[in-house]
Amino acid sequence: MEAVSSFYIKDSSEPFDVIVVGSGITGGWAAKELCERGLRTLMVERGRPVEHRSDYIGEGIDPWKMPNRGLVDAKLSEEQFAEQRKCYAFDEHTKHFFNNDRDMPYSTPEGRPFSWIRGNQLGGKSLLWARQSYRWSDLDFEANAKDGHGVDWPIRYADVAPWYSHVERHAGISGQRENMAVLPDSEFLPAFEFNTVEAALKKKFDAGFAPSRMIMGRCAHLTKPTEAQAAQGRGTCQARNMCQRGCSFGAYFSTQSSTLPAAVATGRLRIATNSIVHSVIYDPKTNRATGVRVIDSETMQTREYFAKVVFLCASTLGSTQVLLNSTSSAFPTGLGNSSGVLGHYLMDHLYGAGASGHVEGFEHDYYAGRRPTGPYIPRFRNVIDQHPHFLRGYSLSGGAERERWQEQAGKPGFGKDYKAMIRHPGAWRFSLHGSGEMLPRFENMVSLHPTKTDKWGMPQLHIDCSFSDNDRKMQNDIADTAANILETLGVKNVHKEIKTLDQWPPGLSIHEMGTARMGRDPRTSFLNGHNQSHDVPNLFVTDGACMASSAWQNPSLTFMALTVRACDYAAQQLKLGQL
Amino acid sequence: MLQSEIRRATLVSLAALCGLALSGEALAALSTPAPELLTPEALRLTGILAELIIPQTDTPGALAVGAHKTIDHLLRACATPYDQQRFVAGLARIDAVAAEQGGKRFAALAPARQVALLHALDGGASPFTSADRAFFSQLKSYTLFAYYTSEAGATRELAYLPIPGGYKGNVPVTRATRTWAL
Repeated sequence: MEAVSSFYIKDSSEPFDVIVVGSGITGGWAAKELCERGLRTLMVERGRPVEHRSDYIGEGIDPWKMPNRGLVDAKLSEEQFAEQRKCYAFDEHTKHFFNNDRDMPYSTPEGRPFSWIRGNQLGGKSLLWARQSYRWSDLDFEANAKDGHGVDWPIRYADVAPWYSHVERHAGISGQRENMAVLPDSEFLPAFEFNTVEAALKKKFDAGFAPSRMIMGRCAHLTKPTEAQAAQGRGTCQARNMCQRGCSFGAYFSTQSSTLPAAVATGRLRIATNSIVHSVIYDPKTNRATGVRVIDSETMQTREYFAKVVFLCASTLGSTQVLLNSTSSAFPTGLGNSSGVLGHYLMDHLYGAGASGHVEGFEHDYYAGRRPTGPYIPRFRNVIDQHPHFLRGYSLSGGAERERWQEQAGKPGFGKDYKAMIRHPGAWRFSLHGSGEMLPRFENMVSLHPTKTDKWGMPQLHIDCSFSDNDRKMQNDIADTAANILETLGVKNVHKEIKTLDQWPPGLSIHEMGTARMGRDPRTSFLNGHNQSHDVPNLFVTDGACMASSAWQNPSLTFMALTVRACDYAAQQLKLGQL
Repeated sequence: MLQSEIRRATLVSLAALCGLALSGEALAALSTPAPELLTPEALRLTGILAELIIPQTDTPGALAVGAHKTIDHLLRACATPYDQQRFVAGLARIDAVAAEQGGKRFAALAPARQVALLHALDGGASPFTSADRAFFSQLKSYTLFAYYTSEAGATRELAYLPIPGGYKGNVPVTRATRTWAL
């Protein structure tokens, strides 16, 4: 590939139009949108390059050909992935796409765990995400203003709707039009099918719990690629559901499959990998960011890159860590932090609560393929009536599957009959688990550790985050309600579950949001309604750090839409000489 | 007891149990020279137990796919010290009960005695305790994992479809239908 050698750079004194820090979901989008608007863009990535297809080293390998059949070496896991291994997607096929905890540690207060799950390579967590993609509605954008928790969002659904459409057409979102107010429709590729049991339970649910509805989960998978997507070299989803190993079909949205090729095609993109951004360079005379200071992850040497505009897309906590470390006499507590809110109002989603049970009958029904999504019940709590115990709401997702050998070890038996039993599809199980909104609270915060640094001398992040009373009450309601729904649908042996703090600490839902929030007032928020720093006009933060509330939907689609909207604004302002 | 005696006893009991002549593959599997974590005796006992759990039928059993060797490797490479100890202690406990009740180590017992002892273990019947039963569950987990992630276990015993090509929500179950391996 001729272009490879020409777009990776190391040292450069070239003044770029824009520097984009990070190459994950938002970094990839920023690079694409800015390049396509004619701007010379430098993408700065702390990790190594990962080439589409050739670097998916864990993809397509039969389990018996893996050294540990998919399990990760215990010593390696303990020493280098003590946090990352808690992620459901961490295994022998994927471990190289996770951050090394030994080299990049962080601290938490005693008794208040936080799991910070990170990607550390070109493509970031776009290679690891769960690909669930949902729009927000005004129920979400108005939530802070209505109940007074967090500051009012400076934008509403109408501001973002066209940008949702813009990213959806390119990324490819599979789903079904439903016309539900709480969950606006996307630009859809065909939805995945329900299986027989799910279809039967959906019928009962829709009839018994109207106006609530069980829909098929919307996900960033090409069920039927458009011509434009096919022209990018992307193919149809094969329902392998081994996405985090990498997808050579390019069938799920990642930086590598979708945004990077588009950015590269403009000829205006340059990429500096193995380049850890230490801080944003600030010029007090002009009150502008002028570039970034970088530590080379391999040589430990420092270098600088310069641009007219800086976009931070380094992940929620990654971007905030860089900002906190960018101090000057004008901004002693972090660049653009005149409000003092930088690092505060950290949120995640409430997972770990739900219910499951057995579905009787349907012995003659099965399915084929591993669907990368499942049935989904959009938010129904606190939409019209107010629940007496908690604010905001949650979705439920799950699905029906027949038991396999993994579920049989705990059951009695051995020998020929036991083997014959496992040979045939087992009992049907149906489960629902919640994804709940976590309130934005000042005390949930990150700061730079006063003394501890990582392997490259960057101050470690100290993360202090805990669930609130509202969060706990919502989790209880998730489990109770999921169990109640299952029982009403006729599911047997229903078992409720609420994970403990140790089993599911904040962060493990990997939807960390906030710490550089958007808002209308420069005294109480870090960014304005265009993801632009209130204090430093040519500084933008468009990853999850910008979020003023968490809502209950998987957030990546909203990060994408906010990013492209900010790129459009920044490009216009740059043209007008306003940045 | 000499190792060769154990091996002979094992082969006799396995052949009787399966009602089949042992394949060369299974014979080779039993004489692994250098286990990674287990002692050679413990590895052999693991092989016998694994084969009792997933025996050879119209498809290979646990022994033929080397499940005991996979278990030994995974115990060494991927298990916590606690799980390693629990596994080793569980094997010793089975041999101790076998000796107490039948005067011989498990491997040397007649096949019917072995099966009876495992039934007692599986049901937590005296003299076995709930801890012993938990070990059997651990052993079954390892055996099932090693067997169904093996090539024969995945592709011959179950239905292996690495690239399904799409999702179909309604596929009728026929006599030929097998559980998906993945």
